[in-house]
Amino acid sequence: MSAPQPTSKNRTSLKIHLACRFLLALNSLNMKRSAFDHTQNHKRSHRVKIAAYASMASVVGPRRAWSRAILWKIRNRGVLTRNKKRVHHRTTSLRLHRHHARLTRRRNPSREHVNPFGNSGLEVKLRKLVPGAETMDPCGLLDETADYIKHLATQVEVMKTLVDLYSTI
Amino acid sequence: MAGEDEIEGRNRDDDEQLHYNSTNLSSDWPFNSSNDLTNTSMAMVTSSNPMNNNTPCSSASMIDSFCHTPPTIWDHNPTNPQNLGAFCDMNLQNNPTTSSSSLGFRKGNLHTPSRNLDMSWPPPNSAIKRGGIFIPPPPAATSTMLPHTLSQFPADSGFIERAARLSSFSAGNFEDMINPFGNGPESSLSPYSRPVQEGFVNGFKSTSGEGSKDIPLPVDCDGSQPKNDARQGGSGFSGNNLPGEAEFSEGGQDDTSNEGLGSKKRRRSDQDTDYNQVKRSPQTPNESTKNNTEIQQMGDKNPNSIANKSSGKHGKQVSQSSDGQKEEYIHVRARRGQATNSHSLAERVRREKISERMKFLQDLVPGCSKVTGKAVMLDEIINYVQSLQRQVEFLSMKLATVNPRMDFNLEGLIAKDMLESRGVPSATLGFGADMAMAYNPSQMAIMQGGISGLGSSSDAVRRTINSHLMAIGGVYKDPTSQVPSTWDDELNNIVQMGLNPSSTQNLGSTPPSHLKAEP
Repeated sequence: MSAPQPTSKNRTSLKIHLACRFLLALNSLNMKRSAFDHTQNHKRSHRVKIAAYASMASVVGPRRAWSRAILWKIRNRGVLTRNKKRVHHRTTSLRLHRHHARLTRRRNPSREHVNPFGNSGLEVKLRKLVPGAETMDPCGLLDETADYIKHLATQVEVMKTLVDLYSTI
Repeated sequence: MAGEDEIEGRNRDDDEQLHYNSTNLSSDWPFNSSNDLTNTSMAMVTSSNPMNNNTPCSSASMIDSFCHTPPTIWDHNPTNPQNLGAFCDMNLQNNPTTSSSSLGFRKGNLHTPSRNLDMSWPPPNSAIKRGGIFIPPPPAATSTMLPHTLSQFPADSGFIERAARLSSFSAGNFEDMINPFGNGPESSLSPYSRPVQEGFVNGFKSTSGEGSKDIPLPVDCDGSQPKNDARQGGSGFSGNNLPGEAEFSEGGQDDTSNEGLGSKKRRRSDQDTDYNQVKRSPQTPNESTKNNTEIQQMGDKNPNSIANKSSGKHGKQVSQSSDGQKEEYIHVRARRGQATNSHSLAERVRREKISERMKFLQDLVPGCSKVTGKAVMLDEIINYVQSLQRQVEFLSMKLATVNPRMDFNLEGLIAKDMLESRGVPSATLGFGADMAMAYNPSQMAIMQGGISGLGSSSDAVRRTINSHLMAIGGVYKDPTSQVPSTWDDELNNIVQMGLNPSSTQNLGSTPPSHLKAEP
């Protein structure tokens, strides 16, 4: 019964944690950005987004699958960008392999029988949306989705507050 | 004990129970439809069979059937209520001793209460007639082959047995009984019912002399002929009594069937007397469960058509062979039942978990509370996640465009903080971390000095401090309107109160422990 009680206090503390992390990341980004010119807005917004997700994931820590997936992705992002071509090739092959694995898994009749959401592609869609949820059972998928939604909503709130603040000052 | 486990597994498993009852019914109905006279007592079978179907716990259903069937049978008796109450009490007492076994009353206990009732509870029913009727059966059954002196009571109990599990008796007794009649033993149950019906109709007509269709209940027969008709009406379905009746009416058609059935009857009555002796001892549950498993095994054999093998034998041999086959079969059955049971339980738990998560998600996602159906809810959840991610993207873009204006202030703040407070380790620390460190009580004086010593450029610094505190606290829903109005008071608070932690709380942020927790 810990899940249905996201009290205001808990939510506030979560918000504070998120804000601190995000501000930390933003500041480090700004420190780094001072070396660049201000014209690359697209790249910069991308970095801000990455900082937002990273702050979310680092607040949660490694105890959730989605935060682990985000952290892993962010940590390996430098490697990915550094040797982009090889990694891109590898990712395509890996994606193909994963697709194949999913197809084979889907063919299993017992697993098909267990699927609680019917045969619609909604579950696959949700698995694509929630990071790190490709290989979960439906119960864990719902659990991770709930946690992810909670943190994402809090992060959106924090970012909205920051935007309002910065735009006025 | 394996039998108890199996019985409990059967108790828990509804599907299997239903399936079992369905097999009972399927083996039952042809009998009912083909036989006109047996409708009188089949009505009771069918009245007790739906009870078995309705209630999941078959022991309760057993009690129900037992408690419901007696009134139809015993209505003519003056001592009916007391006797019934005592009987039900007996059943209820036996129930915990057999560990609420579903089949606890099938063979052993169903007979033992019927006889123990009159032996151990003489005071409630003072009817000497009933006592005279009930006590004789065991010796009579053992001494004479024909169940002539059998009262309606054991016949009824056997009858209720049948109601609970028709398949067992139709497997063992009917086949044994009908086999001498010359029918093919490998045929199904519905052909068996025809000779049974003929013999029974004949016997009934010759003895009772009443219209066979006009009898709604065996109780009506009892009004005219107290003993014999009661025995017939009840024994029309107990496999042991039926051939006796048939022979009685038709003049000894087959002696061997009667022999075998008489021996079976004797054996059962011996079991009953054993039960009378053993009943007070603590071994009763074991015995009853043993008998249960035995009968259950017989019943389980029937759908598997193993009964064909034992159909050519007599009753005793059947029971013995079933005893020989008992152990391994029970083991296998128990394992399978538990496997299915645990599977169904796990499946149920999983479904409950998923529905609980869905409920929690319903609370999280706005506009999803009225939606019913998992697919629609999943669609809503997906939309919400997508919108949130899009919002994050949009806000990060906005922050990227907005942020450079604040950037100077932040850098200035950090530089001045680094100049003033030597406790902060490195300038590369973020803004939030600096603020958290700055609000430590140990650094209050330093911070105060730094802020008070600042010039006009420190206004921006303080503004950022306040705004960030408010942003962090998140209490002020609209900080843009709050900042200009409360600006002076809070500045005074910060400067004059020496950055007391209470002032930070007044600003709406959390207690300093949260801030200190940050690196």
